[in-house]
Amino acid sequence: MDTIAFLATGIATAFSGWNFVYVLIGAFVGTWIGMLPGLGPSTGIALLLPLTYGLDPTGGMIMLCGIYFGSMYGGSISSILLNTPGDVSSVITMLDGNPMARRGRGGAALFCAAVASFIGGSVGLVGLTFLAEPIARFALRFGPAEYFALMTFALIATATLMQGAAVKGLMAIVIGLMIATVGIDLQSGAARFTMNSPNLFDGISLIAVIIGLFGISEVFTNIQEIMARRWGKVETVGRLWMEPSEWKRCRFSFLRGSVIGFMVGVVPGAGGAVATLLSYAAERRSSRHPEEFGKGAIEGVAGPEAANNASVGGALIPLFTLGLPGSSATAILLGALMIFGIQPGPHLFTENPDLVWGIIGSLYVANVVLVILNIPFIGIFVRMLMMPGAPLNAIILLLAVTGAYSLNNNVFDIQVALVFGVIGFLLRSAQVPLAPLVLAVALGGGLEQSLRQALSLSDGDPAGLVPSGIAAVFLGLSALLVLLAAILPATRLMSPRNRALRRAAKKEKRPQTQ
Amino acid sequence: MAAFSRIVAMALAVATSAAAAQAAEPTRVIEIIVGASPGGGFDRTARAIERVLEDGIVGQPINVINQPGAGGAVGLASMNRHPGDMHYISIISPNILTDELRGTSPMTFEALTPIATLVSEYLCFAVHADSDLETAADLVAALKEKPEAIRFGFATTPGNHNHVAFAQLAGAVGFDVMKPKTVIFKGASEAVTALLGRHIDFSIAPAASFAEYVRSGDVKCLAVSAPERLGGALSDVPTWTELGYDVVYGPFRGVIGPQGMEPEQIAFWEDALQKMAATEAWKKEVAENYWTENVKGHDETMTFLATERDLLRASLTDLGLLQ
Repeated sequence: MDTIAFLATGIATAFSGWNFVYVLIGAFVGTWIGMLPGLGPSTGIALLLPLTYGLDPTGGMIMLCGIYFGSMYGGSISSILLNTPGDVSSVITMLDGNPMARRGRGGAALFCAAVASFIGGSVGLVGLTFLAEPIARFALRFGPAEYFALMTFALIATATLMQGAAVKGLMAIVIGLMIATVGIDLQSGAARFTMNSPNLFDGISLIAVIIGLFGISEVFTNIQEIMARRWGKVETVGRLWMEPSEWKRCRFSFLRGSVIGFMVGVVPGAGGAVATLLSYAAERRSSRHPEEFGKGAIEGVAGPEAANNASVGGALIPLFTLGLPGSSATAILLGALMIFGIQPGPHLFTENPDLVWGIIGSLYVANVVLVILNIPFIGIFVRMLMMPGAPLNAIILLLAVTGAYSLNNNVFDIQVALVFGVIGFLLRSAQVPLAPLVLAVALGGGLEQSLRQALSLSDGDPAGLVPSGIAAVFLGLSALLVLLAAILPATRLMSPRNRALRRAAKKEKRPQTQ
Repeated sequence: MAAFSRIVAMALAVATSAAAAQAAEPTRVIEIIVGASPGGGFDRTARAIERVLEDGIVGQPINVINQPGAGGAVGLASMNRHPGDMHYISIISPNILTDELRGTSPMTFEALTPIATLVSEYLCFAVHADSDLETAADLVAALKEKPEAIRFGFATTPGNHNHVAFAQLAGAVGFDVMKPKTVIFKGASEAVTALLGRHIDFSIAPAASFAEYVRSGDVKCLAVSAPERLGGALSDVPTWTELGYDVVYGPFRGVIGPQGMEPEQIAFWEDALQKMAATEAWKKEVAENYWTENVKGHDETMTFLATERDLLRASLTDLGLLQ
């Protein structure tokens, strides 16, 4: 029961001296930064990192962890209310969160996101506390081939994000994969589609694409609606609490999302994007109302939000036990440790137990603090929806541009965001779904590189793609999903729309059950 | 009247020469522009320099600004937008030479103002702790007999320091450097993960990337490409020279300023960096990062960079990356 004793000391550390104040400041500032359109966890942490330079390592890391959790929750606020996510992981939350807000259920969506974040965060932390050692070794079994199999599975899951015409959804995925090829190729060092601009050598920044496609094109869409006098600002913010029926619908989503998020988080490099995506796909598959997804299904908020926060605990396992960052946000935490003069590696747990357990303890505290801090604010947050169009657009545009610049302190990223703003507006007008496009950009690079790494290691033998059970399982599941989708529409079993139609037909017969 | 105007002229002359002398000293905030994200190797070097210099060596505050992109080229270009301004400096590594040779960046070191070389970062040749390759001799034998059976992985780009060191080993031992299965990972930690998970057999990376894993017994370091043995966890590891192979290579790290710096400005920075290199605080940074001191001033750095470029040209040609 050593672990419990260590955890108790860790939580005590979080409350001792100024540390609790740092947790509070971190969680609070993180939420507000994350809430700004165009800013999400990884940009938020990078931006606020200098705040912690004057502090001792424990205090500084504690504050950063507060910022991490805070900006994740903040990111979901702007996705739900303003339709402008700041990170890939909150793109998924937006899909159903924003339609809920437009229906006057914004308060409930925020409340659900807060509860899901809390439950997901807790599951992730409990996993981190008790399963770190065995799981860290498991994570090492993910080599290029296993990673490729997981990414393939995730890419196939993006199909569940498609709404409307399948052709347009597939087009979105292909455009996304094409964008992901820009930059210096990792394996050969050759420049691809860079037009000789050093700014494109590292590829097109995913966050700048997100800011453009969602944030800036949202402004264009709003302007169009205002000019056409169709600007329907939300008149009522509705009841802030979740209805009992909503609770009932998402109680299992919280748990499913938490477990998926934790497991995916452990795999180095997979991160929040894959976690939220797989959770969304799982929710849609297991839901009795798949037709509501994309139109404001509360499970679509509950599952992915829980998965997103649970993946933090998972991603911290390789970081703490092996010194290997599992996501872009944990990579910044690793950098912070080095700046504080701590050498991360396999000795971190044994040689700096006070620091590591202090951080874990503060994450537990930050998790609770965020729920307590944010639930009372929900009433204020949702009033953003009632803001008149013109100033709201100006604010979104200003923050989107600032957010793009703050990525790398480079004006080029603003240009990227603006170009994608226009592209996003055009694609929206043509009813091409943007979420699969962004997910394809996020997955494309890793998918291609891991495929080529795996094939290099096997000398081009395709058998090298299935060196282990893990790879076989993911590839098998992917193949199964494709086969089912290809064969079953004829039998009308798999098509959510047909199921919905059948149910609607049933409902018409018995209207009183509603 | 004539006397008066002569006095004015003299006063002006004094004032101008005073201004010239002052120009060789920073008068406001100094920015170290780092062409990489916080926490990486470049960033750690910059922050180590910042900490030591701010502690009484330079009278002005120092800010470290991260402008990642294109292996450092974006940061260098941004620094170079302040020609002749000594308040902007940046960190360089062999990347600037490789980029020039491969034509990926129009920037040459001659177009900027190299100020000093500070350290070299020598490399570890490492395998998994349970690997059949027990010693450097085993590795050499395996590479000679069946190079195509070895799975070699490293970060971050073909033709970088890790790859060049491998080409040097190939030359010294006499095996075909193109034969081993070669994969490139995005970052040092991905390469370490792949080695720990035994997805690759063998990797090369700067000593600091492996030292902690050598200490924990997860990784075996077979040899280092340093002129002399390194310290800390790696003090038992032989050098290639000891083993009879002429492989001495490690990327350098130095400081560079924008184009058109005056000799006095260069002299100020040379002096400040030399003072810095002599402090205990800096020596501690050097030891903790498994660096080796390699202090050179402006003139020496210019010659050094030219020799390094020739050496890299040869290695990159061996690797098939240059025609």
